[in-house]
Amino acid sequence: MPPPPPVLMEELVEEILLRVPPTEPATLVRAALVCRPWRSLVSGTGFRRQYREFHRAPPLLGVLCNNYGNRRTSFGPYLSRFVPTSSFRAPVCGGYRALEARHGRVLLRLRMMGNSKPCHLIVWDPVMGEQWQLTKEEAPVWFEWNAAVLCARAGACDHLDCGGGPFIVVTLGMHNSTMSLCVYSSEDGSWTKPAYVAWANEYGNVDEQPTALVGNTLYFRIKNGTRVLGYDMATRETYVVQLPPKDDQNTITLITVEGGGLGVAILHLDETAKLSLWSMEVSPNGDMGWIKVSH
Amino acid sequence: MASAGSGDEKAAAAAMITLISSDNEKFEVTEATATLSQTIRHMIEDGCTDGGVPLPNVTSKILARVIEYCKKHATAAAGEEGSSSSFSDAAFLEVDRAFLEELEEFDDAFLEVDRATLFDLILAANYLDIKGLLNLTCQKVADSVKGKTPEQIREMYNIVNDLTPEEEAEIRRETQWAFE
Repeated sequence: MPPPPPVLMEELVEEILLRVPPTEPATLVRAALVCRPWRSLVSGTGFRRQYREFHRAPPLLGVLCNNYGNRRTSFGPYLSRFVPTSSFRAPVCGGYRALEARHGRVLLRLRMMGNSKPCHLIVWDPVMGEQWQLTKEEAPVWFEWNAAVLCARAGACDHLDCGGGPFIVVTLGMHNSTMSLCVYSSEDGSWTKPAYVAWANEYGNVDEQPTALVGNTLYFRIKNGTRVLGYDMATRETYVVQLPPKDDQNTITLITVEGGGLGVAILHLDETAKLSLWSMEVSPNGDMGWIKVSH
Repeated sequence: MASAGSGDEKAAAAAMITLISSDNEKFEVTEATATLSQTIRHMIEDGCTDGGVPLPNVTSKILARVIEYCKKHATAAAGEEGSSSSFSDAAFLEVDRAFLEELEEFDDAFLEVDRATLFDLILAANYLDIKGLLNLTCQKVADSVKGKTPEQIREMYNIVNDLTPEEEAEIRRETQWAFE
Protein backbone atom coordinates (compact mmCIF):
# COMPACT_ATOMS: atom_id res chain seq x y z
CA MET A 1 0.00 0.00 0.00
CA PRO A 2 1.38 3.46 -0.85
CA PRO A 3 2.06 5.74 2.12
CA PRO A 4 -0.64 8.36 2.82
CA PRO A 5 0.05 11.75 1.20
CA PRO A 6 1.61 14.42 3.42
CA VAL A 7 -0.73 16.95 4.98
CA LEU A 8 -0.90 20.24 3.08
CA MET A 9 -0.23 23.52 4.81
CA GLU A 10 -3.33 25.70 5.04
CA GLU A 11 -1.98 28.46 2.80
CA LEU A 12 -1.46 25.85 0.10
CA VAL A 13 -5.03 24.59 0.43
CA GLU A 14 -5.98 28.17 -0.43
CA GLU A 15 -3.71 28.11 -3.51
CA ILE A 16 -5.44 24.91 -4.64
CA LEU A 17 -9.05 25.97 -4.02
CA LEU A 18 -8.40 29.32 -5.76
CA ARG A 19 -7.85 27.28 -8.92
CA VAL A 20 -11.28 25.62 -8.93
CA PRO A 21 -12.75 27.01 -12.17
CA PRO A 22 -15.63 29.55 -11.91
CA THR A 23 -17.76 27.16 -13.98
CA GLU A 24 -17.66 24.66 -11.05
CA PRO A 25 -19.29 26.54 -8.15
CA ALA A 26 -20.60 23.31 -6.54
CA THR A 27 -17.00 22.11 -6.06
CA LEU A 28 -16.27 25.11 -3.82
CA VAL A 29 -19.39 24.45 -1.75
CA ARG A 30 -18.50 20.77 -1.33
CA ALA A 31 -14.97 21.78 -0.28
CA ALA A 32 -16.55 23.65 2.64
CA LEU A 33 -17.81 20.30 3.95
CA VAL A 34 -14.39 18.65 4.05
CA CYS A 35 -13.31 20.00 7.46
CA ARG A 36 -13.45 23.14 9.61
CA PRO A 37 -10.30 24.84 8.23
CA TRP A 38 -11.56 24.36 4.65
CA ARG A 39 -15.00 25.66 5.64
CA SER A 40 -13.66 28.85 7.19
CA LEU A 41 -11.31 29.27 4.24
CA VAL A 42 -13.91 29.17 1.43
CA SER A 43 -16.52 31.16 3.33
CA GLY A 44 -14.11 33.96 4.28
CA THR A 45 -14.18 37.36 2.57
CA GLY A 46 -10.42 37.15 1.96
CA PHE A 47 -10.89 34.06 -0.16
CA ARG A 48 -13.74 35.62 -2.15
CA ARG A 49 -11.56 38.63 -2.93
CA GLN A 50 -8.61 36.46 -3.97
CA TYR A 51 -10.84 34.26 -6.08
CA ARG A 52 -12.15 37.31 -7.96
CA GLU A 53 -8.62 38.65 -8.43
CA PHE A 54 -7.38 35.30 -9.68
CA HIS A 55 -10.18 34.56 -12.17
CA ARG A 56 -11.35 38.14 -12.85
CA ALA A 57 -14.86 36.62 -12.74
CA PRO A 58 -17.12 35.32 -9.98
CA PRO A 59 -18.34 31.69 -10.03
CA LEU A 60 -21.04 31.29 -12.69
CA LEU A 61 -24.30 29.97 -11.23
CA GLY A 62 -26.54 30.70 -14.19
CA VAL A 63 -27.95 33.40 -16.45
CA LEU A 64 -31.03 35.59 -15.96
CA CYS A 65 -32.89 35.92 -19.22
CA ASN A 66 -35.62 38.51 -19.80
CA ASN A 67 -38.45 37.64 -22.13
CA TYR A 68 -39.09 40.61 -24.41
CA GLY A 69 -41.26 38.63 -26.82
CA ASN A 70 -44.78 39.53 -27.88
CA ARG A 71 -46.15 36.06 -27.34
CA ARG A 72 -46.90 34.43 -24.04
CA THR A 73 -44.44 31.77 -23.06
CA SER A 74 -44.58 29.37 -20.15
CA PHE A 75 -42.96 31.95 -17.89
CA GLY A 76 -45.11 34.88 -19.04
CA PRO A 77 -44.45 38.09 -20.97
CA TYR A 78 -41.86 40.57 -19.70
CA LEU A 79 -40.71 38.21 -16.95
CA SER A 80 -37.33 36.77 -16.13
CA ARG A 81 -36.28 33.18 -16.31
CA PHE A 82 -33.24 31.75 -14.58
CA VAL A 83 -31.21 29.55 -16.92
CA PRO A 84 -28.89 27.50 -14.69
CA THR A 85 -25.38 26.62 -15.80
CA SER A 86 -24.78 24.51 -12.66
CA SER A 87 -27.07 22.59 -10.32
CA PHE A 88 -27.81 25.91 -8.56
CA ARG A 89 -31.48 26.99 -8.70
CA ALA A 90 -32.70 30.54 -8.22
CA PRO A 91 -34.92 31.04 -5.18
CA VAL A 92 -36.71 34.06 -6.71
CA CYS A 93 -37.94 34.99 -10.18
CA GLY A 94 -41.59 33.95 -10.38
CA GLY A 95 -43.46 37.10 -11.41
CA TYR A 96 -40.29 39.18 -11.49
CA ARG A 97 -38.32 40.88 -14.19
CA ALA A 98 -34.58 41.53 -13.88
CA LEU A 99 -33.82 45.24 -14.27
CA GLU A 100 -30.05 44.88 -14.04
CA ALA A 101 -27.14 43.43 -12.08
CA ARG A 102 -24.09 45.21 -10.67
CA HIS A 103 -21.45 44.63 -7.99
CA GLY A 104 -22.68 41.06 -7.36
CA ARG A 105 -26.30 42.08 -6.82
CA VAL A 106 -29.32 41.56 -9.05
CA LEU A 107 -32.23 44.03 -9.07
CA LEU A 108 -35.63 42.44 -9.72
CA ARG A 109 -38.96 44.19 -10.18
CA LEU A 110 -42.35 42.65 -9.42
CA ARG A 111 -44.43 42.46 -12.60
CA MET A 112 -47.70 40.92 -11.41
CA MET A 113 -50.92 41.91 -13.10
CA GLY A 114 -53.14 44.06 -10.89
CA ASN A 115 -50.33 44.71 -8.48
CA SER A 116 -51.24 47.74 -6.40
CA LYS A 117 -47.84 48.33 -4.90
CA PRO A 118 -46.25 51.28 -6.66
CA CYS A 119 -42.70 50.01 -6.45
CA HIS A 120 -41.80 46.55 -5.40
CA LEU A 121 -38.15 45.63 -5.83
CA ILE A 122 -35.94 42.78 -4.71
CA VAL A 123 -32.19 43.07 -4.37
CA TRP A 124 -30.72 39.59 -4.63
CA ASP A 125 -27.15 38.55 -3.91
CA PRO A 126 -26.92 35.02 -5.37
CA VAL A 127 -23.44 34.29 -4.00
CA MET A 128 -24.27 35.38 -0.44
CA GLY A 129 -27.72 33.77 -0.80
CA GLU A 130 -29.45 36.91 0.51
CA GLN A 131 -32.50 38.88 -0.58
CA TRP A 132 -33.84 42.28 0.42
CA GLN A 133 -37.42 43.32 -0.34
CA LEU A 134 -37.88 47.03 -0.90
CA THR A 135 -41.41 48.32 -0.97
CA LYS A 136 -41.77 51.98 -1.61
CA GLU A 137 -45.15 52.38 0.10
CA GLU A 138 -44.73 56.03 0.96
CA ALA A 139 -43.82 57.09 -2.58
CA PRO A 140 -46.38 58.47 -5.02
CA VAL A 141 -47.61 56.14 -7.75
CA TRP A 142 -45.06 56.30 -10.52
CA PHE A 143 -46.20 55.41 -13.99
CA GLU A 144 -42.90 54.84 -15.65
CA TRP A 145 -39.76 54.25 -13.74
CA ASN A 146 -36.46 52.50 -13.75
CA ALA A 147 -33.99 51.60 -11.02
CA ALA A 148 -30.32 50.82 -10.49
CA VAL A 149 -28.49 48.93 -7.73
CA LEU A 150 -24.92 49.61 -6.68
CA CYS A 151 -22.50 49.13 -3.81
CA ALA A 152 -22.91 52.00 -1.34
CA ARG A 153 -19.16 52.53 -1.20
CA ALA A 154 -19.20 53.20 -4.99
CA GLY A 155 -15.81 54.74 -5.80
CA ALA A 156 -14.07 53.67 -2.57
CA CYS A 157 -14.51 49.93 -3.27
CA ASP A 158 -13.11 47.61 -5.95
CA HIS A 159 -16.22 45.37 -5.60
CA LEU A 160 -14.25 42.14 -5.28
CA ASP A 161 -15.77 41.19 -1.93
CA CYS A 162 -18.50 43.76 -1.14
CA GLY A 163 -21.28 41.15 -1.24
CA GLY A 164 -23.29 41.35 1.98
CA GLY A 165 -22.14 44.98 2.39
CA PRO A 166 -24.27 48.13 2.15
CA PHE A 167 -25.92 49.00 -1.17
CA ILE A 168 -28.07 51.76 -2.63
CA VAL A 169 -30.92 51.63 -5.12
CA VAL A 170 -31.55 54.71 -7.27
CA THR A 171 -34.99 55.04 -8.90
CA LEU A 172 -35.92 57.52 -11.61
CA GLY A 173 -39.62 57.91 -12.38
CA MET A 174 -42.51 60.08 -13.57
CA HIS A 175 -45.23 61.44 -11.29
CA ASN A 176 -47.68 64.29 -11.82
CA SER A 177 -45.86 65.54 -14.92
CA THR A 178 -42.48 65.67 -13.21
CA MET A 179 -39.46 63.43 -13.37
CA SER A 180 -38.02 62.66 -9.91
CA LEU A 181 -35.23 60.65 -8.31
CA CYS A 182 -35.39 58.58 -5.09
CA VAL A 183 -32.52 56.79 -3.39
CA TYR A 184 -32.82 53.81 -1.04
CA SER A 185 -29.97 53.15 1.35
CA SER A 186 -29.66 49.68 2.92
CA GLU A 187 -27.74 51.22 5.82
CA ASP A 188 -30.63 53.58 6.68
CA GLY A 189 -33.29 51.10 5.56
CA SER A 190 -35.28 53.97 4.03
CA TRP A 191 -35.90 56.00 0.88
CA THR A 192 -35.06 59.66 0.39
CA LYS A 193 -37.88 62.05 -0.55
CA PRO A 194 -38.35 62.30 -4.33
CA ALA A 195 -36.01 64.96 -5.71
CA TYR A 196 -37.28 66.97 -8.66
CA VAL A 197 -35.32 66.46 -11.88
CA ALA A 198 -37.34 68.06 -14.68
CA TRP A 199 -40.79 68.61 -16.14
CA ALA A 200 -42.00 65.55 -17.98
CA ASN A 201 -42.33 67.25 -21.35
CA GLU A 202 -38.75 68.46 -21.08
CA TYR A 203 -37.07 65.06 -20.99
CA GLY A 204 -39.88 62.67 -21.94
CA ASN A 205 -40.40 59.21 -20.49
CA VAL A 206 -38.07 56.94 -18.49
CA ASP A 207 -37.07 53.71 -20.29
CA GLU A 208 -36.96 50.44 -18.34
CA GLN A 209 -33.46 49.54 -19.50
CA PRO A 210 -30.19 48.72 -17.70
CA THR A 211 -28.28 51.74 -16.45
CA ALA A 212 -24.53 52.38 -16.77
CA LEU A 213 -22.20 53.52 -13.99
CA VAL A 214 -19.18 55.61 -14.97
CA GLY A 215 -17.16 56.89 -12.02
CA ASN A 216 -19.68 58.59 -9.75
CA THR A 217 -22.26 59.15 -12.46
CA LEU A 218 -25.20 56.85 -13.04
CA TYR A 219 -26.72 57.00 -16.54
CA PHE A 220 -30.38 56.25 -17.29
CA ARG A 221 -31.76 55.78 -20.78
CA ILE A 222 -34.77 58.08 -21.35
CA LYS A 223 -37.16 59.29 -24.09
CA ASN A 224 -37.38 55.97 -25.99
CA GLY A 225 -33.64 55.60 -26.33
CA THR A 226 -32.95 59.04 -27.78
CA ARG A 227 -31.44 60.66 -24.65
CA VAL A 228 -29.37 59.67 -21.64
CA LEU A 229 -29.74 61.25 -18.20
CA GLY A 230 -26.60 61.41 -16.07
CA TYR A 231 -26.96 61.62 -12.28
CA ASP A 232 -23.81 62.64 -10.43
CA MET A 233 -24.13 60.92 -7.07
CA ALA A 234 -21.54 63.16 -5.41
CA THR A 235 -23.01 66.55 -6.43
CA ARG A 236 -26.59 65.21 -6.97
CA GLU A 237 -26.74 67.15 -10.24
CA THR A 238 -28.38 65.77 -13.37
CA TYR A 239 -27.82 66.49 -17.04
CA VAL A 240 -29.11 65.13 -20.32
CA VAL A 241 -27.18 64.18 -23.45
CA GLN A 242 -28.54 63.20 -26.87
CA LEU A 243 -27.80 59.60 -27.88
CA PRO A 244 -26.51 58.61 -31.35
CA PRO A 245 -29.32 58.48 -33.95
CA LYS A 246 -31.16 55.20 -34.42
CA ASP A 247 -34.33 54.14 -36.19
CA ASP A 248 -37.24 52.17 -34.78
CA GLN A 249 -35.76 48.89 -35.96
CA ASN A 250 -32.79 49.20 -33.58
CA THR A 251 -32.36 48.72 -29.86
CA ILE A 252 -29.92 50.86 -27.92
CA THR A 253 -28.24 49.80 -24.67
CA LEU A 254 -26.00 51.83 -22.35
CA ILE A 255 -22.62 50.23 -21.69
CA THR A 256 -19.22 51.16 -20.31
CA VAL A 257 -16.49 51.10 -22.93
CA GLU A 258 -12.85 50.08 -22.59
CA GLY A 259 -11.11 52.75 -20.58
CA GLY A 260 -14.21 53.18 -18.42
CA GLY A 261 -16.20 55.84 -20.30
CA LEU A 262 -19.87 55.80 -21.27
CA GLY A 263 -20.81 54.00 -24.47
CA VAL A 264 -23.83 52.63 -26.25
CA ALA A 265 -24.37 49.42 -28.17
CA ILE A 266 -26.89 49.62 -31.02
CA LEU A 267 -28.31 46.34 -32.26
CA HIS A 268 -29.88 46.52 -35.72
CA LEU A 269 -32.92 44.27 -35.60
CA ASP A 270 -33.09 43.85 -39.37
CA GLU A 271 -31.65 41.02 -41.45
CA THR A 272 -28.11 42.44 -41.03
CA ALA A 273 -28.27 41.97 -37.21
CA LYS A 274 -25.36 44.40 -36.98
CA LEU A 275 -24.01 45.60 -33.63
CA SER A 276 -22.38 49.04 -33.53
CA LEU A 277 -20.56 50.50 -30.54
CA TRP A 278 -20.27 54.20 -29.77
CA SER A 279 -18.21 56.02 -27.19
CA MET A 280 -19.13 59.37 -25.60
CA GLU A 281 -16.38 61.96 -25.98
CA VAL A 282 -16.11 65.43 -24.48
CA SER A 283 -14.69 68.07 -26.83
CA PRO A 284 -12.23 70.73 -25.55
CA ASN A 285 -15.06 73.27 -25.30
CA GLY A 286 -17.07 70.88 -23.08
CA ASP A 287 -19.58 69.67 -25.69
CA MET A 288 -20.46 65.99 -25.54
CA GLY A 289 -20.58 63.93 -28.70
CA TRP A 290 -20.42 60.33 -29.89
CA ILE A 291 -17.69 58.51 -31.78
CA LYS A 292 -18.39 55.20 -33.50
CA VAL A 293 -15.79 52.72 -32.26
CA SER A 294 -16.92 49.61 -34.16
CA HIS A 295 -19.72 48.21 -36.29
CA MET B 1 28.36 49.91 -25.32
CA ALA B 2 25.94 47.50 -26.94
CA SER B 3 28.56 44.79 -27.38
CA ALA B 4 29.77 45.20 -23.79
CA GLY B 5 26.15 44.82 -22.58
CA SER B 6 25.56 41.61 -24.51
CA GLY B 7 28.90 40.26 -23.22
CA ASP B 8 27.72 40.81 -19.65
CA GLU B 9 24.47 39.03 -20.39
CA LYS B 10 26.37 36.06 -21.78
CA ALA B 11 28.56 35.96 -18.69
CA ALA B 12 25.44 36.06 -16.47
CA ALA B 13 23.77 33.27 -18.44
CA ALA B 14 26.84 31.08 -18.09
CA ALA B 15 27.26 31.70 -14.33
CA MET B 16 26.67 28.51 -12.35
CA ILE B 17 24.98 28.16 -8.98
CA THR B 18 25.22 25.18 -6.65
CA LEU B 19 22.03 24.05 -4.92
CA ILE B 20 22.30 21.74 -1.90
CA SER B 21 19.36 19.48 -1.00
CA SER B 22 18.30 18.54 2.55
CA ASP B 23 20.16 15.19 2.16
CA ASN B 24 23.29 17.09 1.16
CA GLU B 25 23.32 16.33 -2.56
CA LYS B 26 24.80 19.09 -4.76
CA PHE B 27 23.22 20.26 -8.05
CA GLU B 28 25.01 22.59 -10.48
CA VAL B 29 22.60 24.76 -12.44
CA THR B 30 22.88 27.88 -14.60
CA GLU B 31 21.80 31.16 -13.07
CA ALA B 32 19.05 31.41 -15.72
CA THR B 33 17.58 28.12 -14.46
CA ALA B 34 18.00 28.96 -10.77
CA THR B 35 16.42 32.42 -11.02
CA LEU B 36 13.05 30.97 -11.98
CA SER B 37 12.92 30.67 -8.20
CA GLN B 38 12.29 34.13 -6.71
CA THR B 39 13.78 32.92 -3.43
CA ILE B 40 17.11 32.06 -5.11
CA ARG B 41 16.96 35.22 -7.28
CA HIS B 42 16.88 37.33 -4.11
CA MET B 43 19.77 35.35 -2.63
CA ILE B 44 21.84 35.99 -5.78
CA GLU B 45 20.97 39.68 -5.66
CA ASP B 46 22.07 39.80 -2.03
CA GLY B 47 25.30 38.01 -2.95
CA CYS B 48 24.80 35.06 -0.61
CA THR B 49 25.23 32.14 -2.99
CA ASP B 50 28.98 31.57 -2.60
CA GLY B 51 29.68 28.03 -1.43
CA GLY B 52 26.24 26.86 -2.61
CA VAL B 53 22.63 27.48 -1.64
CA PRO B 54 21.42 25.13 1.10
CA LEU B 55 17.75 24.12 0.69
CA PRO B 56 16.95 22.32 3.97
CA ASN B 57 13.26 21.89 3.04
CA VAL B 58 13.80 20.08 -0.27
CA THR B 59 15.01 16.49 -0.71
CA SER B 60 17.34 15.52 -3.59
CA LYS B 61 14.53 13.51 -5.21
CA ILE B 62 12.21 16.55 -5.33
CA LEU B 63 14.98 19.04 -6.12
CA ALA B 64 15.98 17.00 -9.18
CA ARG B 65 12.38 17.23 -10.45
CA VAL B 66 12.19 20.97 -9.70
CA ILE B 67 15.44 21.58 -11.61
CA GLU B 68 14.12 19.54 -14.52
CA TYR B 69 11.08 21.85 -14.62
CA CYS B 70 13.17 25.03 -14.30
CA LYS B 71 15.61 24.01 -17.05
CA LYS B 72 12.79 23.45 -19.51
CA HIS B 73 10.97 26.64 -18.61
CA ALA B 74 14.11 28.79 -18.49
CA THR B 75 14.75 27.81 -22.13
CA ALA B 76 11.15 28.76 -22.91
CA ALA B 77 11.54 32.17 -21.24
CA ALA B 78 14.75 32.87 -23.19
CA GLY B 79 13.01 31.86 -26.43
CA GLU B 80 10.12 34.24 -25.76
CA GLU B 81 12.44 37.21 -25.21
CA GLY B 82 14.22 36.50 -28.49
CA SER B 83 11.01 36.23 -30.48
CA SER B 84 9.48 39.45 -29.22
CA SER B 85 12.57 41.54 -29.96
CA SER B 86 13.55 40.53 -33.46
CA PHE B 87 11.14 38.09 -35.13
CA SER B 88 7.55 38.48 -36.07
CA ASP B 89 7.11 36.58 -39.33
CA ALA B 90 4.71 33.69 -39.69
CA ALA B 91 7.43 31.05 -39.93
CA PHE B 92 8.85 32.07 -36.59
CA LEU B 93 5.41 32.12 -34.97
CA GLU B 94 4.95 28.58 -36.26
CA VAL B 95 8.16 27.51 -34.50
CA ASP B 96 6.94 29.35 -31.39
CA ARG B 97 3.64 27.47 -31.40
CA ALA B 98 5.40 24.15 -31.82
CA PHE B 99 7.61 25.01 -28.86
CA LEU B 100 4.62 25.96 -26.70
CA GLU B 101 2.94 22.67 -27.58
CA GLU B 102 6.11 20.83 -26.62
CA LEU B 103 6.16 22.74 -23.33
CA GLU B 104 2.56 21.75 -22.65
CA GLU B 105 3.39 18.12 -23.33
CA PHE B 106 6.35 18.41 -20.99
CA ASP B 107 4.09 19.84 -18.24
CA ASP B 108 1.53 17.06 -18.69
CA ALA B 109 4.21 14.38 -18.45
CA PHE B 110 5.82 16.19 -15.51
CA LEU B 111 2.55 15.90 -13.54
CA GLU B 112 2.40 12.11 -13.96
CA VAL B 113 3.50 11.51 -10.37
CA ASP B 114 1.93 10.00 -7.26
CA ARG B 115 0.05 12.22 -4.84
CA ALA B 116 2.84 12.34 -2.24
CA THR B 117 5.34 13.59 -4.86
CA LEU B 118 2.79 16.11 -6.16
CA PHE B 119 2.36 17.53 -2.65
CA ASP B 120 6.14 17.66 -2.12
CA LEU B 121 6.43 19.54 -5.42
CA ILE B 122 3.79 22.04 -4.25
CA LEU B 123 5.65 22.58 -0.97
CA ALA B 124 8.96 23.03 -2.84
CA ALA B 125 7.40 25.40 -5.42
CA ASN B 126 5.96 27.44 -2.58
CA TYR B 127 9.22 27.51 -0.59
CA LEU B 128 11.32 28.36 -3.64
CA ASP B 129 8.65 30.75 -4.93
CA ILE B 130 8.43 29.38 -8.48
CA LYS B 131 5.12 30.79 -9.72
CA GLY B 132 4.73 28.63 -12.82
CA LEU B 133 5.40 25.38 -10.95
CA LEU B 134 3.09 26.34 -8.07
CA ASN B 135 0.35 27.16 -10.56
CA LEU B 136 0.83 23.92 -12.48
CA THR B 137 0.83 21.63 -9.45
CA CYS B 138 -2.00 23.39 -7.57
CA GLN B 139 -4.15 23.35 -10.71
CA LYS B 140 -3.61 19.59 -10.93
CA VAL B 141 -4.93 19.12 -7.38
CA ALA B 142 -7.83 21.57 -7.99
CA ASP B 143 -8.83 19.56 -11.07
CA SER B 144 -8.73 16.36 -9.03
CA VAL B 145 -11.35 17.58 -6.51
CA LYS B 146 -13.79 18.52 -9.30
CA GLY B 147 -16.98 16.51 -9.02
CA LYS B 148 -15.82 14.71 -5.84
CA THR B 149 -17.90 14.36 -2.68
CA PRO B 150 -16.49 15.74 0.61
CA GLU B 151 -15.90 12.13 1.76
CA GLN B 152 -13.86 11.37 -1.36
CA ILE B 153 -11.79 14.55 -0.96
CA ARG B 154 -11.02 13.66 2.68
CA GLU B 155 -9.95 10.19 1.69
CA MET B 156 -7.79 11.41 -1.22
CA TYR B 157 -5.94 13.97 0.86
CA ASN B 158 -5.81 12.30 4.25
CA ILE B 159 -7.98 14.95 5.95
CA VAL B 160 -9.75 14.38 9.27
CA ASN B 161 -13.34 15.61 9.37
CA ASP B 162 -13.68 17.80 12.48
CA LEU B 163 -17.12 19.20 11.60
CA THR B 164 -19.94 18.15 13.95
CA PRO B 165 -22.94 16.38 12.36
CA GLU B 166 -24.98 19.53 13.13
CA GLU B 167 -22.50 21.79 11.30
CA GLU B 168 -22.48 19.43 8.34
CA ALA B 169 -26.26 19.32 8.23
CA GLU B 170 -26.41 23.12 8.31
CA ILE B 171 -24.09 23.52 5.31
CA ARG B 172 -26.00 20.87 3.38
CA ARG B 173 -29.32 22.55 4.17
CA GLU B 174 -28.09 25.99 3.05
CA THR B 175 -26.51 24.75 -0.16
CA GLN B 176 -28.54 21.72 -1.09
CA TRP B 177 -28.07 22.46 -4.81
CA ALA B 178 -24.37 21.70 -4.62
CA PHE B 179 -25.06 18.11 -3.59
CA GLU B 180 -27.63 17.19 -6.23
